[in-house]
Amino acid sequence: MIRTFLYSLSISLAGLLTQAAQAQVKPAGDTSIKKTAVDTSAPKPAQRPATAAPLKAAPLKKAVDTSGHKTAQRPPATPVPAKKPDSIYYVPGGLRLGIDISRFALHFFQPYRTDVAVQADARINKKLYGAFELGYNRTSHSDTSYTYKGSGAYATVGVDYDFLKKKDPSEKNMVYGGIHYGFARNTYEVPAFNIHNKYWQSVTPGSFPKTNMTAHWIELTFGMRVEALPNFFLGWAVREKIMLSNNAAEGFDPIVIPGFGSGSKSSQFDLTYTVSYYLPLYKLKIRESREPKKKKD
Amino acid sequence: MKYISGIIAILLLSVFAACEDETKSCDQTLISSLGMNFKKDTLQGFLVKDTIWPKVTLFALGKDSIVRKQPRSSVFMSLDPLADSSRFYLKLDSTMIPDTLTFRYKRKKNFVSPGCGFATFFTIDTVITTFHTIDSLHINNREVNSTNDTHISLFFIY
Repeated sequence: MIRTFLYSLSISLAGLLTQAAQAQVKPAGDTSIKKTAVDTSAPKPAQRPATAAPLKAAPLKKAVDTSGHKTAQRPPATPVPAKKPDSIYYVPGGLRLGIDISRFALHFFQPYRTDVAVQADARINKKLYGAFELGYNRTSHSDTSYTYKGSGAYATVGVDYDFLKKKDPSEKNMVYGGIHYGFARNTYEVPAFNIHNKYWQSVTPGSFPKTNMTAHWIELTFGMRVEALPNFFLGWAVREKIMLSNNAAEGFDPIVIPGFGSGSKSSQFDLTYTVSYYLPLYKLKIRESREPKKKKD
Repeated sequence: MKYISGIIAILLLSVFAACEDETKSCDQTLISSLGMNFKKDTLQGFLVKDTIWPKVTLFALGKDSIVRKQPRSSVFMSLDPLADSSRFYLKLDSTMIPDTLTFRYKRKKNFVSPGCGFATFFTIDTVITTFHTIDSLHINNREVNSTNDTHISLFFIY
């Protein structure tokens, strides 16, 4: 399973690196954005109707300077270069729905955890994507010392910014960084525990009642999504999660906070591997100026 | 680009560290112990040094010995998790008169970690002692939990 995971990771990475290399070696004359439509609504300055000229002519009555001071002479008017019309084109927009298969691999390393996570993202504009995640966790552990049961759900919402320079605007591959807010609600209990003391030869039994808790965190993500087959994506992401607050019972943190990870840590590193399908639902109109960017003085 | 493989290796190591089974390892002492160290007081408190007693014997009254005739500068003992007080016998040298220490405390059951499970933590209220060999004592920390603190210092003048 690990081998398959690593193999898929390397395929996805190799694909993206190839695309990045292609983007870097494109010819100088090629524009990075393919023009699919041109806005012709703006009137061209050279073809302005002759009736527009009298409107800008001098006023009928000229003001006369009677103060005796010399009037300042205006410099000769320089011709204003014609403004190029904006480039307008359409990029595919849609909903990408996926399942995080790394949660199943996690069960292999931490058998007490059972997690399911569904991810979705939707394009907001050329570079920004709205990202959502919903998930469920069940934690069950039992040994000679204690028995633990917990379950809960979580949701994250945030934005991802696509860093990838695309050769073709219809391309849907992504290299992204994002920031998400996460919220989880968890219920946990310890039906029975025993505290063994060798010196006093005692066993202290006890239990911890069912407790509800909520947690809030922020996660910073970096990852990539590659279109392996038409509308079928493979993607991985690394995430650093930083706990903002949680109201776990004093003296008893949950073993797992759904979506966050270890209940006793204030920050948590994580990796996801997502298989997703893209539903092309709409098109986004992108307007870009064709004027050369002004250089900073 | 040449650092890509190194970055991936670091990421994978971090992921494996994050995937550690926390229920398998207990990195804290499950039985919370009370720590006491011995200090020699000369010049009436102006010069205090750690001291080693040559033949220390320690046990809870009616229980097995924790330390028996061993050279020690500090001792660690477990408080009774089923009672609100514990009494200990402490003899520091074969020629010295033994002392009895009584600890009164509050108990609380705490979850230590997924690997360690639960433990009883104590909050010391009072320490009562005889002063045959001991000159005085000082409570440094009242909270007896899973950290290896020295909670009490015993002072001797000789």
